[in-house]
Amino acid sequence: MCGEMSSPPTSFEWRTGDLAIAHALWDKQFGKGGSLDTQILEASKLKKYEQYRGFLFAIVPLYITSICVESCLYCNFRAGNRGVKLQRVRLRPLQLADEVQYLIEKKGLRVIELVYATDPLVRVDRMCKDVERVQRLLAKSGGGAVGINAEALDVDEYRRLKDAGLDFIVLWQETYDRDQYIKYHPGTTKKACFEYRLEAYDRMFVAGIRTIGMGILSGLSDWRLDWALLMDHEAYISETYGIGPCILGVPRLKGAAGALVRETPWVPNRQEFKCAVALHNLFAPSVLPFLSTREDWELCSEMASGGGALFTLNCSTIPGGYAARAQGYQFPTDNFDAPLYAPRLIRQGLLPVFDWKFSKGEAVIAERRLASGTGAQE
Amino acid sequence: MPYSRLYRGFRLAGALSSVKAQREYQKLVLASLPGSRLLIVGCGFGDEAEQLLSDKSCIQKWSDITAIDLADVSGELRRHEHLSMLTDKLRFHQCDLLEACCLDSYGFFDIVQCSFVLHDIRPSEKGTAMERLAAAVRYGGHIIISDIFPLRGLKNQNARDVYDTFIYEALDALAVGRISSVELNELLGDGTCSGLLRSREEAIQGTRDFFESTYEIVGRAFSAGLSLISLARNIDNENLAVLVFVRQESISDRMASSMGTIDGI
Repeated sequence: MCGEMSSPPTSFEWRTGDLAIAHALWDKQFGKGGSLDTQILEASKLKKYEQYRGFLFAIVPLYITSICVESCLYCNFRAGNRGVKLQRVRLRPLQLADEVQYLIEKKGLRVIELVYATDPLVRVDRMCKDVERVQRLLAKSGGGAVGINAEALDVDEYRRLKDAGLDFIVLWQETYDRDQYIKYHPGTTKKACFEYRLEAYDRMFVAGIRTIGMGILSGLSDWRLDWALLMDHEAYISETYGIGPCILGVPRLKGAAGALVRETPWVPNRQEFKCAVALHNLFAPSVLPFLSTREDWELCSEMASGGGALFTLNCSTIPGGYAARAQGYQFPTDNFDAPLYAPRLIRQGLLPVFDWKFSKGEAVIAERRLASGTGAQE
Repeated sequence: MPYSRLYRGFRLAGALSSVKAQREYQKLVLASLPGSRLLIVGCGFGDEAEQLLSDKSCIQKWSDITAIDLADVSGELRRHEHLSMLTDKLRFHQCDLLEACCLDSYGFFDIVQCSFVLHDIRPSEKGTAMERLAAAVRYGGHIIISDIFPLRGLKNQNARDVYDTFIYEALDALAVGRISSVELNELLGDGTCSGLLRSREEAIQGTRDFFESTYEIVGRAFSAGLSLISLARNIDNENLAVLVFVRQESISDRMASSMGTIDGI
């Protein structure tokens, strides 16, 4: 069970939605491992525990295609990469079904994030069919949830995805620094247009999608300002649509073999990154940070303190990386095999749940299968 | 030593459609924000202040209006119709924003308005300028910044584009009769005396106009304790924008006041 939660060390009140919280990013003591960090991390753990009681929500990324017309300088999938640590793969529908069956039956994972590179032959028609197909497979096994992570789309395209049964959608703004954004995303595609991406979140809401994920790729520009502007953007979304994002994307720039940009001066270190996630938890405690295996086990489990996070266990960033065991990656990751690692989380006082869904913008545990350490069928 | 870049033709800047739009938008913002103490930074000849404060309601709304500028424009301000009606509430102080410690004795303002000032401050001093602006406004008070933030390219790469747009607007103003040909000449100058043409050349050479992106200025604002609450790009000239910030009490200060001093802060 979850460990005992101690009282916060101060009487200071962190007010949810208070944009002043963002200013702590510029405090000279922020990210230095001193008393300010301790207060932020402890307060974050307590706020998360109050709302989520240590529960973590297991999610798995399933890459559909690595064929990409984009030229994102930091990405292994960029169009100009001639095969460094990469296979160009587009899953056929039956292959997709095999991967989903494998994740459900062998690993017990029931919340699936379909990830799409910008493949000229995989447009919204195919995405809708994939969503319907995965929903059918999940329904046969007792249910689950399916989301997508793809390029920014038009309102009608989002509407079609919603009608196809999409449960959630995540889209990372990458950076709010328009000049740097344009440098990192050269070309004439929709992704190269900063404004088109920035306004995608509005289009999702206009299309009726209510469960969305927002985030940045920490390290593409001044990480402090990107985090602050992300909070600002979330506040705008909440004020405009009456509901904020449910998921927080927290990728941190990691050098990929075939990328043209592998490091920048702006990548937050471990302590700064951990504190930034905790600070966001104080700003928006109900939002679930999407902890990915870009980070090591220790950091992921520290950032999950108190619960209330999406947690990636099994992870492959290449289409066919699970059942078909395809090799390569979009970016280097670890892979924490669910049946082995879920018990480790429990020993750390966290409760991974595999069978859950989003309801009215919140993660809800399915009543029939409360976490028992792993949802995998032995 | 900083020096004022005011010149005779500057009075006509309001004839440029984009500058006119900047003023109209700021007027709306100003009317919507609470407060009765206003600080105008870089008031110039007062044409913009005259426009911003031209409603009759201003006489009731403002209890104290302080204007500062590098140049001594106190006489100029009194010549404006509406500003002259606010004489008992309006005071002028000649000073440089970067050395505006004198403002401390005036207390905190509810709103600070700063128009076309920051782009002329060198990058090494922009942080100080932002801190001065932040220090002049009370917690919860607002700062309105109207300035040039080139949308494409960085620094002075686009100085030519920025000034060309102003020059085209000046020609348009002549075409629609907003200014006469004599006034157009005052606004443009001949390239040697002050005017848009000379400013353009100096900007291209990098001796003035130290442009930053909105991202950079928002970063400076955040580090000075200001949160962005709105950013409006000018439709007539996309290189111009109006940003509105609110001053927040820092977390460290709030912690200190709620629990005593924190070690190391």
